[in-house]
Amino acid sequence: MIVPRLVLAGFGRRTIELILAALVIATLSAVIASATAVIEGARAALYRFERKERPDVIHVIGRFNRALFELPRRGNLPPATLPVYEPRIEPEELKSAVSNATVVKRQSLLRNVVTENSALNVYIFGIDPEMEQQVGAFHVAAGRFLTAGDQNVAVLDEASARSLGVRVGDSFPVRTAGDTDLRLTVVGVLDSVQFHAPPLATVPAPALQPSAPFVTSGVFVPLRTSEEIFARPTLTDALVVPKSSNEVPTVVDHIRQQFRLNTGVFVEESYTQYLRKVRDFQLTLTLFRAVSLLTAVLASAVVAALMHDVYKDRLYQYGVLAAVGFCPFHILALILGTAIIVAMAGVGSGLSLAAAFLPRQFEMPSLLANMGAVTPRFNGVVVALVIVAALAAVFAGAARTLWSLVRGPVARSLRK
Amino acid sequence: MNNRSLIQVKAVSKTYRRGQLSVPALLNISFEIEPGEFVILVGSSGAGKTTLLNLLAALDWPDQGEIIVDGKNIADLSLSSAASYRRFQVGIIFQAYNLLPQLTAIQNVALPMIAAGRLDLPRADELLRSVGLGDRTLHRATELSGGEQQRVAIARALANHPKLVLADEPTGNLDEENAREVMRLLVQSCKERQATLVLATHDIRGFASADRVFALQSGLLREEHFRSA
Repeated sequence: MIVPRLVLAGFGRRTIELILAALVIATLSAVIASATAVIEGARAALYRFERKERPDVIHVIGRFNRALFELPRRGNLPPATLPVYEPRIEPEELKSAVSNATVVKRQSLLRNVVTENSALNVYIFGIDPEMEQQVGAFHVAAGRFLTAGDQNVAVLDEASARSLGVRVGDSFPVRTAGDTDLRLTVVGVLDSVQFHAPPLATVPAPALQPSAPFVTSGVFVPLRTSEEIFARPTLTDALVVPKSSNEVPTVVDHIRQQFRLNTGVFVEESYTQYLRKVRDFQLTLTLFRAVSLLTAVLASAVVAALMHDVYKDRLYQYGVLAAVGFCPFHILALILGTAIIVAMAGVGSGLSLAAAFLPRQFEMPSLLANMGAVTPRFNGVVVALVIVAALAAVFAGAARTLWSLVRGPVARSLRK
Repeated sequence: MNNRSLIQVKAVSKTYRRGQLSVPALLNISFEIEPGEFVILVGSSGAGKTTLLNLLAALDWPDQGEIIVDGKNIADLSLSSAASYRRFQVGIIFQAYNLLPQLTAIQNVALPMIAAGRLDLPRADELLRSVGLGDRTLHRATELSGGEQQRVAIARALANHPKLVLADEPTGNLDEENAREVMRLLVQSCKERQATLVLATHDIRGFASADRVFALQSGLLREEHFRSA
């Protein structure tokens, strides 16, 4: 019982100050925890947005093929395989323009089979399997995904597989540019496809998400197979991924410069718009941080002043303890013990307040709406920051007393 | 210089500085005290008695000179060594008692034992009984009279079997009856334990039992021998 009484010094003088300090720390902790949780949530939202939108990816694209608008819907016509975009991108030309950046090559085609009563359209994407998986996500429901060494095989989504009436191990014909049929063996079926920068859905075709304005399904084949179908290595589109996001404008300039004489090649990037949005977002966060920091500093000053009064009053007691032989470390432990108890009481109450009253979600303003809602996150960073702030405030209050005990003679502490 | 001396104070000076102002408290003081002696420091207010006791208790540092207690110069001890010295070799009694108000009498007596890492509540109880407070052990300091508080302070000073007991005006805040009783207890307790007692006072009541009396005047020491009966 003696040590707790030495730490808390009984319920007497300056107890009000201690309780007040704990209450201010609770407020301070609640403010810091709320602000940091929102900031952490915002950072997570930004990270999610970046992962989803990939603003670092540049889309080099041939002009949309007008023939697709003119496809027949009825009649007994031989199947046709048409490029979705005009095949205007020479791979070597693109590679020389982007130097160190990664190029994800593509050939986007549409297979069109028109019978008397119906038309079956299926998108075919010639891809580099390994590179494509770095910018998109393909979830295999049955079989496997494509590998680098594959030839004349296909992986297709469930909707396309159903339309074509195929399963893993089956094969189906695709008309080549040479008017012959190439049989593709199905090695995998996908139940989810996140294909980066897909073409707009201008032609009725099987789709995993029928209401989506862009293509959400298709038959994926290795690039060398699509080149065989297409009978040319020219790309219809490609993704370029620079080493870092801030290289995007430079790389875009280089590509535009390279293809300046090719009016059918377009370069699309979302980085500039993303940067503008992010800058606004970060400005808002900075303002939020500044207000929180100012509040924290003011509250800390109040706590430090209150604790200073408490310790100043107890200096005499620490002097008595030193006079009866308590070593400096024991006295330090008593001083810090009081500080830590007050800080932790405040931190516990503050965190509980913040957890109880902080809204579960913040909707972003319209300009940033597609970044999604911000969900405040209480994680280790939040707790650590709150504890550090609270301890800094109480230790600041103890500093002068500690200094006085360390530097001055014990006799001075004993003078009432 | 006597090798048997418990305390050797050699040319000690101490000056307090308050801004530009320097106030000399002790001027080139030297003396020796032998083990078991009872020495009274007498002098008017401001003569330097408390300063000298603070230096002997390692509660303050001299500006110059040496204070050798039991063969060790306590003038240049580190903070923790000074604490250790006060813990095991010195018992201090203050004019203002300096008991911790949130603790009971027995807990106050036990404080030096806690500092030494050997809490012995039966002994604390025995010490309180020896100063006539056997029935007040669980009373808080604030619930005791001035005389009782000073008796608790005496018990506390003796808690760790000190070789040296330093008492600064122990009867200064007490009425005559209590002062006489406290003085008797203090001297008797030290004699029983063969502890050296250095007592600062302006009260002549204890003179009769003192071995020596040192008179301090404006920071200068004038020694008077006084043989006890």
